[in-house]
Amino acid sequence: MFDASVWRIRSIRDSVRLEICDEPSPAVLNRFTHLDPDTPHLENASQEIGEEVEDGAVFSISLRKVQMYQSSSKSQRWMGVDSDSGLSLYETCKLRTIKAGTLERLVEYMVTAFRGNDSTYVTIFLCTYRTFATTKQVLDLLLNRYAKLQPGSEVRRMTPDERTELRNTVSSILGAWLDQYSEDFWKPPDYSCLRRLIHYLQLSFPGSDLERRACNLLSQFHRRLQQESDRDVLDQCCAFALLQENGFHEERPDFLNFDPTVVAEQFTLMDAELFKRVVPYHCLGSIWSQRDKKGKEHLAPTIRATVSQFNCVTNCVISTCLSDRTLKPAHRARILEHWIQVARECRILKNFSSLRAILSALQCNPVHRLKKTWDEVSRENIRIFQELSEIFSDENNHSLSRELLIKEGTSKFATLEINPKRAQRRQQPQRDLTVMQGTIPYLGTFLTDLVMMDTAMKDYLDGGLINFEKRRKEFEVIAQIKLLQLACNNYNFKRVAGFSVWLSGVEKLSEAESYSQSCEIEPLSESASNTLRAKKSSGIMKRWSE
Amino acid sequence: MGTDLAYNFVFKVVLIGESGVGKSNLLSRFTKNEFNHDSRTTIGVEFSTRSIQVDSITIKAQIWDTAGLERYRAITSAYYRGAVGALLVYDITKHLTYENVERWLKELYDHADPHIVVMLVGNKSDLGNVRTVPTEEAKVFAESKGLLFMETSTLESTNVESAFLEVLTEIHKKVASKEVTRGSISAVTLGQALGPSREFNEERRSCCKSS
Repeated sequence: MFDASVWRIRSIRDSVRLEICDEPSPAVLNRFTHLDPDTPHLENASQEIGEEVEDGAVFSISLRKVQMYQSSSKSQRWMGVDSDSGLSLYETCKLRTIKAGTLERLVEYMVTAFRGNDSTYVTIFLCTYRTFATTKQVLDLLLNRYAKLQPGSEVRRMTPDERTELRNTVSSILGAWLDQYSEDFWKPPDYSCLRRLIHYLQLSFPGSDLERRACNLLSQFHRRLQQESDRDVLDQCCAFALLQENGFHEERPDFLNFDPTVVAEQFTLMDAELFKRVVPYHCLGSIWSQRDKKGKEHLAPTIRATVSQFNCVTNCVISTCLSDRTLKPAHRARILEHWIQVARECRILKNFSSLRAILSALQCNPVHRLKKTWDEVSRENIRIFQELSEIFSDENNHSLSRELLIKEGTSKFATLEINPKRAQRRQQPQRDLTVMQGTIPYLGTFLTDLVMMDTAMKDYLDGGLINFEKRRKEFEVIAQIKLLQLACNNYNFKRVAGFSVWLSGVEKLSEAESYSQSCEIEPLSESASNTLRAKKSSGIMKRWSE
Repeated sequence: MGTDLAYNFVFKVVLIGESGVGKSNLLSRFTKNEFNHDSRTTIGVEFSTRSIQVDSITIKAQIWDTAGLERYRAITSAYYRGAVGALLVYDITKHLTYENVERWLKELYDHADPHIVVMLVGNKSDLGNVRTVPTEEAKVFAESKGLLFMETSTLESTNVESAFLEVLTEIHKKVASKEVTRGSISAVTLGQALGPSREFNEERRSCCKSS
């Protein structure tokens, strides 16, 4: 099949060294594989040695060292114990992966990759293909050409084994597609792609589980269409603050009455629900950066929902800190301190989203400028606040928060360096550290990375081939998101109704409102620059308030 | 972290302008080398900084772009803080993006250091479209506002390098000639931890000592 291929060996340097090197690589930022303890550290032992150019496709040829005997058990690797006393034998395999190709070749490669060593290809393809093709295009190519199981000239030439293998491959690909990306087939009212698939399955896989699943999906879609006419699927604003308003004059519970742990847990509960619902491929730069374009206002609703929740938390902090301008600085400082404690609890729960939201709110100008209030905040709380803020330092492109995410992404609990003594002294019962906790990332870092990756890498190579290498790189980020989403299932909190009611009742302040409220609390000095500040241009506010 | 001590200054430069004018593209072109460097291990990790040499001094340019974050409310508020340079970008093929330049300028001066070095950048990011903003007009406007001016093309990478270099050199000149206030110099050499104490100092500076 690949007879016509041309070998272009660029370099074979290092290929010898490869066979003996056995050092586990130091923690590498953004490698999703490092989050998974089951993956041996062999990632860097893969070395590209050349490129193969064919008609309509470019392949990368690399050597990879594969361990033949696994001396340590899974659990040992979990613990970081790698007793390498036994003999480890390594074998160097030649790896051939597609780098770029026409759509036809990329689809065809799904079938060949399954048998070969490029096992993640199908996953990456299904996750990213929407950036270069439609569902219909891919389905047509797959079903009409590369997955032809009906008696025809090509199939007849196959041996029975080959036929079985092709059947299994096709079944796995279609199964994965239906399982993970059923949304692709949501094309009301006629669902032509799904019907096309069902037709194919009825012919080639009659009576199979796959066929049943496809049919179930269709009836599910029919039901959903009915329901959707009645209500909106996703609530855009504060997904959990749906409770009715009881009028402003009723007695509201004071924010200080909520235990910081409860507040952090409630935020985490909300964040986890929204984060789990995020459709990872919507984060791709080519999709997310389209969000403000005309006619794309409803793009990526699941991401918008997490951003709304973030802004909701931010507003809640700002609003409570600026409430009641008659408060004495010392009393207002208690509110700030309370929020610092909530932030700290979020850190313990590894909820980086609300943690960042709270810190950003405390750092935003209207709250930040309240000097008299901050003067009343205890040293200890200031120190905690500063330590927490350092997590999101922009130094080295936010390397600290990235490292933390990798380190703690799927670990059991936060590795808190901030004052463990204090944590022990606290009265509340200690968290059960044997219970796995989830992690909620601040999605913004991923969004920026993906937008920048999309900007920096070409969609198509010079010859017009689809640059699949770009999709592989993007997928590394997507895979991190997916892993964290899985880990999020480990949170297990109960809703506290009183908190939801309270949260929904928090006054919504615009950028301008919070600034003027802040100035009422602590008036501006007469300096010219501050008068200018008071009259903030409306431009920036327009964009900030959704 | 502070492991990278091979530079004398860190300059924070912000990219502003309407969406779709090619800001992220400018950034990606300028920091390209470091972006692609060792792409196997550092995906996107160094796309926001690049070190350059000016008169035997190494300047680390830290370029801020709100790519993908525009909807996060409180995140963008930290954007202008500590910036010593700005590239105000418009698209020479989309007149509306040029009309909004003044609004961006006002916002910038409302929030940033008054000594900030600003360059007006007429960018062409789209292949097909035709120019709607004459060079002369933009140049005259820039001069009247005391801004540097350059036209770039992110398609052909024309002038991208020069635009950033000119801004960074100009900032360096200001810092070297002590034209800026003491406070601003400390803002230039970043690296302290963020926190209320430092921010309060800055705020006090702008209340009492600003020119």
